[in-house]
Amino acid sequence: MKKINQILFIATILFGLASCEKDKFTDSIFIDPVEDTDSYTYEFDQWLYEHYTVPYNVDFRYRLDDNGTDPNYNVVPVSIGMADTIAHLALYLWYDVYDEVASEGFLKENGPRIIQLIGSAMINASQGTEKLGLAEGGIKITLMKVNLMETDHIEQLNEYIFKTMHHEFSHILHQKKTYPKEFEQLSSADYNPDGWQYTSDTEAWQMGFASPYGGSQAREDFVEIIANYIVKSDADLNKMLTIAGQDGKNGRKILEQKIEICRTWLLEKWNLDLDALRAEVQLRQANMDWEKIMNLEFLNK
Amino acid sequence: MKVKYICLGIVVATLLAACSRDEESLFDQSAAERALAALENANKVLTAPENGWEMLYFANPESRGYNMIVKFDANGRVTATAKNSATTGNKIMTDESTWEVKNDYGPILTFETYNEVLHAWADPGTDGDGLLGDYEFLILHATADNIKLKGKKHGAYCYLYPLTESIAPEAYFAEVEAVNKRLFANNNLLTWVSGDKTYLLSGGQTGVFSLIEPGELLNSEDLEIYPFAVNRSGVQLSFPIRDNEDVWYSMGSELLTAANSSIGAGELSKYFFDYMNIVACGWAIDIKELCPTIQTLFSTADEEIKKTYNNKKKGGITEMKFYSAQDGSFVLNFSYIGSGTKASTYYYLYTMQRSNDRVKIAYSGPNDENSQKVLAALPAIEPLLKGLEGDFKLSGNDALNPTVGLLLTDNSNPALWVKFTGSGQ
Repeated sequence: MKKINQILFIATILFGLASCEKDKFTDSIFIDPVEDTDSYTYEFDQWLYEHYTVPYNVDFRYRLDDNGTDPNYNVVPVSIGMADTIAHLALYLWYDVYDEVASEGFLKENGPRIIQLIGSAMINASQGTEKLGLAEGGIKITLMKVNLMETDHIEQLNEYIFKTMHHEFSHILHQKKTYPKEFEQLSSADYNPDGWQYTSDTEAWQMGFASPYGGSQAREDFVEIIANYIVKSDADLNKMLTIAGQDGKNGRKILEQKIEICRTWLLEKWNLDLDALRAEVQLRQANMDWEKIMNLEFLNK
Repeated sequence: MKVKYICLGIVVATLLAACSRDEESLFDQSAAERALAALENANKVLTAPENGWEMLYFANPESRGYNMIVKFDANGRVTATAKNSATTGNKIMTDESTWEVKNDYGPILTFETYNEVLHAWADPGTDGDGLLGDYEFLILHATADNIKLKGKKHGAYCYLYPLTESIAPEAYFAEVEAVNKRLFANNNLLTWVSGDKTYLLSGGQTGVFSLIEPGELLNSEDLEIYPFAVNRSGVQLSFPIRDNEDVWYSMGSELLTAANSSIGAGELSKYFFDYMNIVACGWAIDIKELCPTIQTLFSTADEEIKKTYNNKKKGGITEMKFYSAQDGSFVLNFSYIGSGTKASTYYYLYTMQRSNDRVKIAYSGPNDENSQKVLAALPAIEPLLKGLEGDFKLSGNDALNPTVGLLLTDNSNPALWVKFTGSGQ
């Protein structure tokens, strides 16, 4: 009987070990695209695989599965044409910028695993708010209003696409390595989660927030500082800081303190130079050449 | 020790018994196999028609139906064409995008990239709701001759019918518009007969019928609503009326009838009365097309009014409409412009009797003192009112919809006739 017990025990251990076998990871967590060369979207799917999945380990999703959206909102998918344009533009103004400024493989390791495009706005009519983007669990970034973008309107693209990408990516970064407690203390008395939408830009700046939404809560404040600092032109950044300090308000001082905290945190925790990142984005924004962007002539320079 | 072995044996036997798989399956295939078969069938059906499908799209259970032509190809491309006032500015618009049938509690048809034609109703716009349409649909039924879908989020039913012949979008939408005009250009109403009751379906021009019970007011609150779409064959309701089977108004029959009830040609006289029994519905005499006998009487009365009021330019008879009064009698609303530009209406009583396929109309006299005074002041009016008397046979001027034009011809004098149009709203 003892022998039987021993055999059973060993068999149990073996089964247990077998189930603990490690998954074999490949270069990408995503499977290769289906090689259906007749597919209506074959060329675009292949292009996305080569320029997003392989180099950045990201699934760039332009098809919309309603199961992946919040059922409380009405949304529509992005058009293939706009998805193509935004995919090129995101390489130019976002992915390739990090390649240029950050360490090699930074985005492949830390970047979002899924980028989901949505064609329409995501509006909460009762609150009078709309979501510009979503970051879910450090994995997925959802970008809204893509169908409505005017591609020659960089301010609009920044507001709805690239600022949102920096905003949501910063969430991913601080979800991995938390931001300093001292940041939260700078505006702790002024956060207004329910009424931020009734604040104007000027009021927000003079309170030390980069945007009204930054005044909703500390973590949004933190990522809004980074995103606005990167995408705002010199003129717009100066305007924000100047107005923030007018009428005897303390906003400028608070904003500058917050920018410094973000700058230090990114450098120390992520070895990322915020000013270099901003400089590269500003340079590219000032030199938008659509032919070069759509032909990817900016890559591998 | 022996006892232990026996116990162990019993336990093993019990466990093995519990694991036996001799349950009888209700289906021939496993759930996964059936799901796969449903997907394959839906893909096959959708891509089969060479000329695509006519899609009758209902954005949500309260919205009217819209027509589209959609064509699915096997490579994942869908081409959609529409023409309507809500989303295309009444111009023909075509766009292409992708489609897929996927499994999610059954086969789902999804249009997962934006298509200007297909997604216009689902776009939330600036208020977050837009037209509350769907772009993902449960496939409830898919066979070669029709497909029934249900919007996944907002729950409206949509219908697809194969286009059996090649038809240019311009021609298709022109034909649909012609049917729509025939049904609703001159009135806004259809009837629905169920048992011995004739219900009114009002609001035809809006694409959403309101169901009016016999005797109920047209503007009553909380009326049941039934959205519908017009196509080349008739009217498709989005969902059945009061749990009756899907009501499909077909142009195939002589009169516009519901599939599960009908108004036969010989029952026009009943229809004549039923229609007037619906509150606020009546028959207007076509005063621009009268038979010579009535025309003479009409012209005499008309001239007398103009002369009496010295208003040749704008004066004269404007309208004559028969209504059913609450006491069972019938009233002719007789309107004319005397002085000025505003018409006055006076009321005259008639008796009307149904006899098989005929309606006997007889003049009784004025309804009130004012109407009596008018007859005294304008003596040419009464002969006109009496001239409408007769024993009339009824025929539909339009096989689709009697309210568009009903012809009453005197049984003994075919030269005496009068045309009516339904006047409800």
